[in-house]
Amino acid sequence: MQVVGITTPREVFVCSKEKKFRKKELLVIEDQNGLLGEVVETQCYNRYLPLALNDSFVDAGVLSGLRSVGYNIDDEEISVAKVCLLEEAAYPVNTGCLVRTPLFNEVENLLIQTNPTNGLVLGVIKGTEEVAASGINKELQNLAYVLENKKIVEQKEVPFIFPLKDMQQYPHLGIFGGSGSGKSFGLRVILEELMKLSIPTIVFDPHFEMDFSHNFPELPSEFCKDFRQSFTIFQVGKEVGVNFEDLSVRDLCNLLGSVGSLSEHMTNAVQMLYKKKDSYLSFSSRVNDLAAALEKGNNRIEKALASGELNGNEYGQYQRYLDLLEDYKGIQMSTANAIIIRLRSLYNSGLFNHSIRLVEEAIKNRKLIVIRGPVRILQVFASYVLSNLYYQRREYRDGLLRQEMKDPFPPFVVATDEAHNFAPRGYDSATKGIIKEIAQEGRKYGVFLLLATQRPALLDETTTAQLNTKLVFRTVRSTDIATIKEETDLSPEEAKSLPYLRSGDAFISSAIWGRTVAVRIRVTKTTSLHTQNPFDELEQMYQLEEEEFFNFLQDKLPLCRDSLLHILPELNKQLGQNKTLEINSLREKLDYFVQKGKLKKESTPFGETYHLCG
Amino acid sequence: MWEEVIAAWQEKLSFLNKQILEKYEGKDNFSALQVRDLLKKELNADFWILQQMSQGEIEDFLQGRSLIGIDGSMNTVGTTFPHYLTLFQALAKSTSKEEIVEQDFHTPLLREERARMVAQAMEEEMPLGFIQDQIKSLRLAQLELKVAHQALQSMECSLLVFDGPLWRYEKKAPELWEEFCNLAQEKEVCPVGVIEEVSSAYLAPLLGERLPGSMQDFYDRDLLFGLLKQGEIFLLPQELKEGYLTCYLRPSSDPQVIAFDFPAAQKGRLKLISNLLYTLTPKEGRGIPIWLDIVDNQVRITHQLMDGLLKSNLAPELLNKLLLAQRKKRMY
Repeated sequence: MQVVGITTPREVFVCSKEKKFRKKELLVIEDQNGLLGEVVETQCYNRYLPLALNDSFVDAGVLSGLRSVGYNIDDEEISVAKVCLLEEAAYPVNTGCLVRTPLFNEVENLLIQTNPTNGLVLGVIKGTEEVAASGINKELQNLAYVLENKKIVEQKEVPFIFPLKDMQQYPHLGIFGGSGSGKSFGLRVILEELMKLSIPTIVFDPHFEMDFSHNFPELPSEFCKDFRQSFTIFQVGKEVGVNFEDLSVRDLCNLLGSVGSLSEHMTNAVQMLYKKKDSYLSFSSRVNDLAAALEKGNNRIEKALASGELNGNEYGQYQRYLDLLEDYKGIQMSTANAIIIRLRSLYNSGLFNHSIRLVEEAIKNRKLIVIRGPVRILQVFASYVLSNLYYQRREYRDGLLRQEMKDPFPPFVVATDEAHNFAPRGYDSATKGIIKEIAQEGRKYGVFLLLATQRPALLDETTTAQLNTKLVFRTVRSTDIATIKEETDLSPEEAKSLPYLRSGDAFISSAIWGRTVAVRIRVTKTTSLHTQNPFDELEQMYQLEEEEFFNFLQDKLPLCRDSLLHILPELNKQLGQNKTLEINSLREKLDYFVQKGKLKKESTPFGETYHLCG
Repeated sequence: MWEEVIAAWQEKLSFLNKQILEKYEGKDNFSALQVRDLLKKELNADFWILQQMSQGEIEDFLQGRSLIGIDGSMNTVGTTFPHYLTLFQALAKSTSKEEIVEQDFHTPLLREERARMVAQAMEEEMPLGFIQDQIKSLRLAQLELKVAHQALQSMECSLLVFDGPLWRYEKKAPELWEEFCNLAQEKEVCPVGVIEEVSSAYLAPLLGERLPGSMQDFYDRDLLFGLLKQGEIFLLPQELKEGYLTCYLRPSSDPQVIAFDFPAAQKGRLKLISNLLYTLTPKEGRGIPIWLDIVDNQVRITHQLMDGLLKSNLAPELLNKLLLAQRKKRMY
C-alpha cells in the first residue's frame, strides 16, 4: 500500500495490489510521524480489462485461455482508495510513502470512548475488521452479534459503544431512517441498552411494538438477556390515565379532539364552559345541564318557574338552567350535545379513572415504561405525563439548589417513534411545547430525548437542532436527505450513499465523536411480534382451519352435490357457533377443494358427486 | 473565406477518392473468391480453420512451461541530428509472471556516437537522417534479442512470441540472432513473430501476370482484405524469406489479416502454435494475441513517462538548450 498521485495536506490517494479497501476504514500513512486517515471512496481497476465501448474487449474465452497458460488476469487488479486525513497535515503528504492498517492500540481512543459497562453497545464500527484482528481488548470482544444475510454472525469488528455519560454535555439522540431501514431495530437496541444500565425511560409506543419479553430467534444463549423484570407496559385508559383536575383547557380540547374532530364552535364552547379546577363531574354536569336547558328553551323554563308547579329541588334546577342560558348565550344545543358525546366517549375509555401514579413509581424503580394507546390520545397523554414528570424532576433539582428538601425524582429518558407527530414542524401539537422545552432545557435536569422518525424534514427545527447525536439509516426522500445534510456533519459522499445503505447500517453523527462513524447496528436481543409477515400469518391462520375441515369431509366422501343437507348439522356442531355454514357456502367450500386439487367432481346419474382425488 | 477553403479541400479529396476507387474497386479487379482460388492453385496455399484450444490441450502443449512475449519500445525527444535522445526499453514477460527488462539510450550528443554516425553516413553515402532511423531500429532489435536470450536462459518456456517479423532480427543483428536461435533449438523453444501490420508485398509479385493489371502492384493487405473467414488461416509453402515460413490469418471479427512467421524447421508444430495464439486472441479485437498486448502495455515508454524521466533526471538547462523543440513551446 502506498500513496500515489497528487496529494494535499487533507486528501491522498492510496493504491494497493493485494488489499481491497473498504469505506470508512482507518489507515496509517507513514509520513510526518504517522498520519491517520479514513477511506472515503474506493475504486478497483484492472488495466488489462479496460472499459472500451468502441474498441476491443477481452472475452471470456481469452481469459480462460490465459488462465490455462498460467496467467490470472485478476491478479493485475489494483485497488485505489481516496483517503481523507483526520487531521490536516502540516504539508502535503509525500507521494510514494507507505501506508498500513493501524494496530488497535493506535486508534483505540478514536474508536472507543467508554467501556461497555458504562455505555450503550449499539453495534460494530464498519471497516474495522483488520484493526480488531490486530488485537482488541478482551472486554471488547463478543459484545455485539450482527445480522448478515439474515444470519447471526459473531462480532469481527470493533464494537461501537455510545458513551451515555457524555449526554450531559451533548444531550439527546435522534434516529432517522425510512421504513425498513432498521430504524425501529436501532431504537429497540438503544432501549435494550438503557434497560441494561437501568436508566429510567418512558417510551411512547403508537405502534404497539415495544415489547421486550420475547427473545430474538436463534440468538446465541450467551447473548440473550431476560428483560422481563426491566420494563412494564401501560395502556392509556387501562392502567394509566389523567387526573381531570390537572388538565388545562388546551389539554381538554386536544383530548376531546382526539375522539372526534372539534369544530371552532365546539372549541369556543369548551373554552367558555371549562373552569379552573373543574373535576370531571363538575364539568360534565355543567355541559349536561346546559344541553338540557337549551332543549327546554328560555320561555318554557321561565313559564315553569312562574307557574309555581315546581318543587324545591326542581325550582333550584330550573333557576340554574336559567343562569346557564344567561352565562353561555352563544352556545347552540347541537354544539353542547357534540361535546357531551366526545366527553362520554373519553370517560368510557377509562382515561379519567386512572392516574400516572404507576408511571411515577416505575420511573423511581429505574424501569423502562412503555405507554400504549391510540395515537391522538397517546399524544395528549404524553403531553400530560411529560409535563408532570419533567416538572417533578425540575422541582427536585431546583429544590436542591435552594437547599429545600423535596422528594427525590430520578433523571430519565423520553423515547418515541414517529417523533414528527409529537413535535411537528410548522404547526402545533399537544406535545410540541414540552418536547421543545426538554430539548432546550432538559440537559440541565438530566432529562433526555430519544426521538425516532422517518421524516426528519417534518420534525420541529428547534428540536432537531438540539439532537446532538444522530443515527442516520437509509433515507430515500430528497427533502429528508437535505435536512440530514444540514443537521449533521455527513460528507457529501456519505449523504449520497444514504439511499443505498443496507438495512441495519447507519451513520452516527455525533458531537461526541466530532466525525461521522459508520456502524452496523447489532442484532436485537428481543423481538416484536409485529415482525411476523401478515401474509404468512394469513396462510397459517387458514391452513389449520382448512385441514380440520378437510379431515371431517374425508370420512363423509363421496358426497352428492344435491344432497348435502344431511351432513350439515354434524358439521356445524363440529365447527362451533361462530362458523356455522349454510348449504351454499358448503358447496362453495367443496368447489374450493376441487379447485385446489384435493377433491374431484364427477357427473353421475344422481347429479354431481365429490370424490377424493387419486 | 472558410467556405472556400472547405470547398477546395472537398474538390481535392473527392478527386483522390475517385482515383483510389478506380484502382482498388475497378471492374477488372478479381473478387476475393477469385484471389483465393489463385492462391490455392498457383501458390499451393494451404487453407484451414483454426480451433479454439481447451484447457487440457493447452496444458498438454505447454508441458508445464510458459509462454513468453517479447516487445520493445522507444521514444525520442528532439528531432534533428544531433539534437535528440532516444530511450529504448525491451521486456520479456512470461505467463508465469517472470520478467526481464533492459534499457538503453542513444544520442549523437555524445561525441563518439556522433563521430560513428557521421563516418557511417560517409561510407554508405546515405543522409544522416536515414542512418539515424537505422540505428534506432537496430538498437531496439538488439535490446529485444538481449532480453529474449536472457529469458531463454532463465525461464522455462515452450513458445516465445515476438511482436514483429522474425527475419527482421536476422537481418539487423545476425550474430545475436544466431546465438538466440541456437539456444532456442537446444531448449526446444519455438520463436514466432506476430505481424500486426502486414506491410509486405509478396503475393502479387508471386502471382504476377495471373492478376489483372490494376492489381499487380497490390500489397498483401490489399489482396487479402476480406478474403478469409473469421478463424481461417493459410500457409504458403514457399519460404518468402529464406529459412522462414509465413502464414496469414484472421483471428478476430476484424476483416484485416495479420501474419505469423516462424522458422521453416518448426512447420510440424504450426497447427498447435497457431491454435494456441488464436485461443489467446480476443474475438472482437484487432486480432493480436492478448499476451502481446499485455507486454506492449507494460513496456511502452509513454510520452508522460519519458517527460517525467527526463525532467527529473536531466539538468533543466540541458534539456531546454539541446533537446526540447521550439514547437513544443507553442501556445495554441
